[in-house]
Parts: sequence; C-alpha cells; structure tokens
Amino acid sequence: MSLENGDAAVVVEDLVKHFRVHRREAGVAAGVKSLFKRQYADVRAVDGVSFSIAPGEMVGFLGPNGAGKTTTLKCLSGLLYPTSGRATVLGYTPHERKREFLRSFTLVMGQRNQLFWDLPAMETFLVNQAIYGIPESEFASTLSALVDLLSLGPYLDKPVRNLSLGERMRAELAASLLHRPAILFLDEPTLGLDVTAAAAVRSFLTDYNRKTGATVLLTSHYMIDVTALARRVIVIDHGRIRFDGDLQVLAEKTAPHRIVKITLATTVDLATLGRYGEVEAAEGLTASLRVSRHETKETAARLLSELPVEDISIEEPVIEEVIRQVFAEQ
Amino acid sequence: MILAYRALLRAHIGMGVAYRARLTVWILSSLFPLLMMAVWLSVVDEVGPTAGWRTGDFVSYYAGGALLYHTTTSFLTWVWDADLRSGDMSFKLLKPMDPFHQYLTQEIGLRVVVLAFLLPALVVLTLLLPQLTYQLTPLGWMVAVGAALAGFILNVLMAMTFATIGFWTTQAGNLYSLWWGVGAFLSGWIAPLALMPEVVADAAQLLPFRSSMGFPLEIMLNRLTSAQIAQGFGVVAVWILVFAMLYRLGWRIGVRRYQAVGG
Repeated sequence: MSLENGDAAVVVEDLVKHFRVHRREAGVAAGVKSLFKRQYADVRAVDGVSFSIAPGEMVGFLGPNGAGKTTTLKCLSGLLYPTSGRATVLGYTPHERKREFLRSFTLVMGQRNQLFWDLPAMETFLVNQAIYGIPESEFASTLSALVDLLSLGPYLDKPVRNLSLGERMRAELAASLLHRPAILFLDEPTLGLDVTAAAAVRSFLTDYNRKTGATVLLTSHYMIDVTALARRVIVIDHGRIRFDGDLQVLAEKTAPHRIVKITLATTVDLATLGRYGEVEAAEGLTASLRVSRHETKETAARLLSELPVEDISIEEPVIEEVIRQVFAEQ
Repeated sequence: MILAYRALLRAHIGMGVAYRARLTVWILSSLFPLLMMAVWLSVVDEVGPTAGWRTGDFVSYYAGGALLYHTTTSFLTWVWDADLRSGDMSFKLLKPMDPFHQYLTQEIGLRVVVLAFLLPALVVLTLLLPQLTYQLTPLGWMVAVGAALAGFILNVLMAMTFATIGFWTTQAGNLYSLWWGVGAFLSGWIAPLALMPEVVADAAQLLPFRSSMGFPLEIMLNRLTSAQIAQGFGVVAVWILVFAMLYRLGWRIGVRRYQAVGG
C-alpha cells in the first residue's frame, strides 16, 4: 500500500479505547474480599480522538500521565485493538498487523527495550536484519550510519545488561531504525537520559527526519524534546484532544502575556515596577515583569523612557509553564 | 523465514550459554526422571521383575527419559505469561514475524544447548553401563527421533494454546501446571505406562501426553510393533492438528484483548 499525493501518513478518526480494570483497596482484607467479589472499573484511556499527520511531519504529543498518549501510540502501532473509531497508518489499518505495515514503522518505548539482555546489541541488530529481510549492503550502510550518529562503536560488543541507560537507549534506537521505517512513534525516547545523551538522541532524530523524510509522532515529558523536535503539538488529556496546532499558537492562546526582562542602572522599588506589570522576580538591578501580550510594545517603550533601563528583552513564557497552565485549566 | 529462524536460533543459543550456573542447573534438572528410576530399581531389587520389566529396562527407560524431559517439555506458557504481564510481548507483536515463530525458536535454541551436553552424556553412559541397552536399528533410531520431535511440536502447541488463555485471565501458567501434572501421570513420566492399570494405559494411548515421553521411549526400547508405532504417530498427528487449530483460534480472538501493559 502506498500513499497518494496529499494523503496523510496517519489518520485517526474518533478513536476510542476503553479498558476494564480490576480495582481493589490496599490490605490483606481487601485482597481476600476481592477473591470473592471483584470490582471493575471502565477506564476511558482514549475517548474519541481525531487528528491527522502529513508525511514527513514531526508532531509532539503532550499530556499528563494517564492522558492517553501511549494508548494512542499503541493503537497506531497495532498493539491495541481499538474499542471503536478508525486509525490508518500509511493506508494500513494497524490492528490488522499486516507484514508490510509492520515493516513500515517503528515504536520506541523509552522505558523498555527489545534488545537481547545477555547478548551484545549487535546480536539484536542481526536478528532484526533477518526478520525485516534487510539486504546485506543496505544493512551495512544503515548500521554504519547509525553507529556513527549515535556514537555506538564502543558498545557494540558489550552485553546489553552492562550498558548504561543512555547507551541502551541509543542501541535501542539503532535496533528500531535499521529497517529505515517511514514512521516513528516515539514514546518518551529520552526518559532517564542525562543531558548529553538526551541531546544526542534529539539531534539524531532531527537528522533522521531531515535525511529520510520520516513522519514522527513523539511523546515526552521533557519540553526541550518537544520544542527542539516539533513545531506542531497535539495536547491530550483524559483521553480527549485539548489542542492541535502550532506550539507558538498554544503559547499565545494559553499564556496571554510575555516576560519583559530589564536591567537597570539604579535600583527601583517594587511598587514602581508593579505599575508596568506583574513582578515575577526582582533581584538587585534586574527584574522580570509579566506583561499582557497586547500591551508589551507600549510597556517596553514606557519602561525605556520612564526608568533608567540599561538593557531590555522580551521573551515568551517558558513552555513548561504554558503546558502546566493548559492542564491546570482542564 | 529461514534466515530469521537462523538468526533467532543463534541469539537464543547465545542466551542459553550466557550463564554457566543456569546451564548447569538446567542440565541437573534432567536428573528428575532418574529419581523415579531409583524407586523402581529398589522395587525390582526387593520383589523381582515387575510386569516383565527388569533393572536394565528401567535404567534404559529413565536414562532416555532424562533426555526426553529436555527434548519435549515446553515451558512456553510461563514465558508467555511473564511477557503478557510485563508487556514484553509488545516487541514480538511489533515485528513482521508471527510471535509463534519467535517463541518457537526460543524453545528450540534452549533445547539445542541442553541437548549438546546431554546427548554425548547418554552415549558415554550407554557405553559404560551394561544395563543401558537400546537395541535399535538405524531406522528404529530415526523413528524414535521422529517421535520425540512430534512430541516436542505437540507440547509446544499445547503450551502455547494454554498461553493464549492468558489474554483473558492475564495468567495461564497455573492452569497449564494442572494440565502438565495430569500429563506427567499419563505420559509415562511417573512410571512406564505398561505398569499402569490397563484402563489408564489404554486411555493414555489416545491422549496427547504419551507423545512427550512414553511413546518415543517405548520405540527406543523396541517394545512396539510397527502397527503400534503407526497408531502412535496417528494419535500425535491428530492432537497436533487439534492444538494447532485451537492455538490459531485462541490467538485470533485473544490478541484483540492484549493490553500492552507496562509502557
């Protein structure tokens, strides 16, 4: 199956996934009681989600824990059978799990990996080569590129169990991309990684998308991942889409203010600063003011003319704060 | 598919030899049937041959049983159970290769490792112990190996059919343990079926359990006629077909209930 010009790579229409979950209180008595009388609850993990993603697009999938991000990714990967609704990925229905579909995408789960635990990562790569039917020359060139990009060379012959979390994650990424998937579903790909390793993974993903034109749907709790990789974000909470669009638009919509940072030549008291905006921070000669978005220009001009300002900058609110506000409003 | 099998087998053999202590314990677990042999040898010692079975018969039966224990027994229900509860099955489902084959290669890989040690040991024991005699022609050996293979395939299918129940119950290992316990009695694992009450021995001929132990062992001991061997293979073939169909059915309906937990 191939996409026609203009077709979306991923289409999700009114996707619903409910789980029936056994519930019981803590304690031995509750445990014994549950042997005789089970209590179940229906969890609406995904509750009527619709969106589409164009080929080559990189989209951030945001939401608090339990929002339905991972469940959606698992439905799109064919791991979960949807309760209702429709999803197509590259024209395939995921839960039919056709072999061609399984060859065309990858799902990377940051907290788990497919690597053979007691063997060097190279062994998993060779198994994937055979399972995905990757020709020798293609395998050699892809592996070589992945090893370079992910700096995997020194770790290829070490048993996976002896690798650090960051090394394992990079090996996992390599194992997941050997078959050059056209679609990447990434679920917390930088979870638990140190700053350097996370940056390496982000840089690799940007490069992979640029070189191969792969479509990427990424979930992460680290805003730096999202801001570095995706312009468009889909915000999901309680199984429903709350926002779908440009990250900048989300910031403007959710946080109708900007941050004006000033450095003063002499100290100014808080009451005076408060006349220009809400004082976020003030220490010595520097201060941050929260100013209404549509008054930013006028306020900046007033600050420059009325106060001994030596330096001034206008910044967007930190994206973490924006997202926190989105979820707080739900 | 052949290349995938080869690569997976290589990996699983690698996993099998990763830990020396674990491998040693696996090999030592082959001694379980020899414990039963000790019981029967003391019976023969005290009351003489039992139903025509002499010391050499019991030694040959249980030495072969030690080998077959690792050849035909399948532990896949427990492996599958663990994968269902941890969510590790997701990685098998994501690959363009039916998880059945991925589990099967895991089972074969471990067999290859253990048998690489047990087979030479049995050959050496056969040369050293005069009581240990297998009077078989090369054709007889081929038939015995074929019976053991058929028993292995049937056991894998039974284990995986039970494993699919885990899609509904999350845990099927205990149910399979119960089945395996009944099977241990009716397979010839506890005692040769020839020594069982006639009604039990007759029932065992038609049940699936004998294929994993009693049937190949009786061929190794040259105790079956050609007609009985043909009937034995027929019974195994029917059960393989039955469990293959049950597995496919359980898989098709069950996989829709997979919850992909743990991620």
